Amino acid sequence: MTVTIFALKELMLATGLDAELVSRIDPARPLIQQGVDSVDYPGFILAFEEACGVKVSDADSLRLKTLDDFLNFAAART
Amino acid sequence: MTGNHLEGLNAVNSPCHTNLAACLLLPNVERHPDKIVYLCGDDGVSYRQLAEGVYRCAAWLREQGVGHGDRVVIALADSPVFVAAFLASNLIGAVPVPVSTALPNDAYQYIVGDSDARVVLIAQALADLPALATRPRMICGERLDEFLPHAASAPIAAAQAGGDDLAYMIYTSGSTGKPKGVPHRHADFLFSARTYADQVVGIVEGDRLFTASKMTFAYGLGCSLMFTMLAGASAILNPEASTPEQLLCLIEQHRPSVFFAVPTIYVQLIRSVSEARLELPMRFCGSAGERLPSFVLDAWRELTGLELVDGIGSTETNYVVISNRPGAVLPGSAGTPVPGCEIRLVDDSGQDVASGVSGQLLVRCASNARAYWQQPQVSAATMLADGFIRTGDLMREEGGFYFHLGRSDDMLKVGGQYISPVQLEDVLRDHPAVADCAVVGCLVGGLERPAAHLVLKAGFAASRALEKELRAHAAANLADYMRPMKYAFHDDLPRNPSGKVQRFKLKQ
Repeated sequence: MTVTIFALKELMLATGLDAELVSRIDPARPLIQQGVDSVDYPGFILAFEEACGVKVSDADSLRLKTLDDFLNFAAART
Repeated sequence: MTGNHLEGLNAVNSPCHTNLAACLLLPNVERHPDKIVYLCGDDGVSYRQLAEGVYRCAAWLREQGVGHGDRVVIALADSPVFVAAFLASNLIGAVPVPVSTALPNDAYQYIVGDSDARVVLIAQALADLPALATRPRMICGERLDEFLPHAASAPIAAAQAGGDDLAYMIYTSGSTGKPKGVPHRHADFLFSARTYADQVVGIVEGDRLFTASKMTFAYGLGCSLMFTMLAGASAILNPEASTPEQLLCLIEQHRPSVFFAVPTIYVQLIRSVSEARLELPMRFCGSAGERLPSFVLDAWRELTGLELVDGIGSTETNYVVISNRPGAVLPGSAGTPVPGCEIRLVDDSGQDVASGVSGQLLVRCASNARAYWQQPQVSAATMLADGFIRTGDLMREEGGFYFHLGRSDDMLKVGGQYISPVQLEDVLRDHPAVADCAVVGCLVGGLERPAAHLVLKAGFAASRALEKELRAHAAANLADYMRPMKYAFHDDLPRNPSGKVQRFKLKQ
């Protein structure tokens, strides 16, 4: 998968996140502040790992706060 | 002892047992009636005002015919009204049954029926649920001054409470998917207050407590109600959902000195902050309810400079029975035994294991529940004849510190709440594409979450679209925290010769 903000948002939709919530997400702001909750977040991390073929360590899972963080993380590893 | 009035509560161990509500309320009304005990929104409630609310509610309960031993279901958001309803039930010798306000109708139906509730006190949002309309009821708001405003508030004498009289009952998830009532006696929380709150974490009169856990859970009930009032302290109550934004806003507004939450909440708080540093007013933070990974503890300390004091307990033991101590936290460990709690780690034959070896956690302490509510067989398997409770947790002891390793049964612990895989599997099997399934725990970011392993019926193929459909099906039929994070598709599930699913293979 070519990792772009659009692709990450598509991934969020595939994990069942609400379409309106996803459309409003600002890539520079923490996802938690924008309505992505403790149930959605781990689901997105797992989908991200599978789609991008990367492993998110436990410590990294606390540092990946924004969509930009996910984008940069994937870019640095693929 | 740390200077609060807990000294006087040693009487609970004497033959002269005491009514819990009277222990919590009366000393405070006498010593500092105008001290604010609860901050809730813009509302501040004094001990005197709380007592008046308790007496008004107690009078109403008596009018409904509620008496000694009757169960009173309380499905209210955290607020002074919740506290008044709980204490009023206690005061007249009835048994409050606190229940979450976020359950589906069938769960309320089960709890109201199983507890045989005499009356229910419910939040406005639940007024239309049929299960909560089958008993005499009162629909309540959150402001104490609007709670039974015309009822008499004359003091009511506390009912006598003997050693075996029940004080409250909390429902916890059972392995079959049906919740189990865990009844506790009047002295149980007094024991937890004297030991954990006083001797371990040192809650004092000057403290202002705040927890993300609701009072329908033992963890929240202990912090917001029991420990607060037994220390003559004050607490912040939050009727809303404990989102990171809401929690940080209330912390900024009300400046608590102590904060308690499950690890999932700390993870959310860390992820919600963009800045490298977060200044908070607390002197320490407490954690329990699920295993606290050491990297979360490290990240919290790096972000806030605050220590996370982790511990472990259960609804059955009433509260935390193994805990770290403020100033002496061993990362990755649940700590050392709380005073008065006997801990054993045993193998499958019930023999004590050596230090460093994994064993099943058994706990014996004065606050242990004696039995589940009307479940003699499950009770006999959990509450052992020698007074120990089999918790179902696997732990290892090294150098006096205990380390949580997982569960000895199939139960999952997610965000501080138990989940029975059976309950999730029943929901998933209802989907037309699912032939068979098994739910196991998987670790995501160091925390346990449910993962669904599925075998599809002929004519269905694994696809992103089907996975999305299954996620929607789960979301529509399960509480949020129960929704599986991961969906894996298999041709068949691994089974042993007798046909039982080998869950350990799915966890690999």
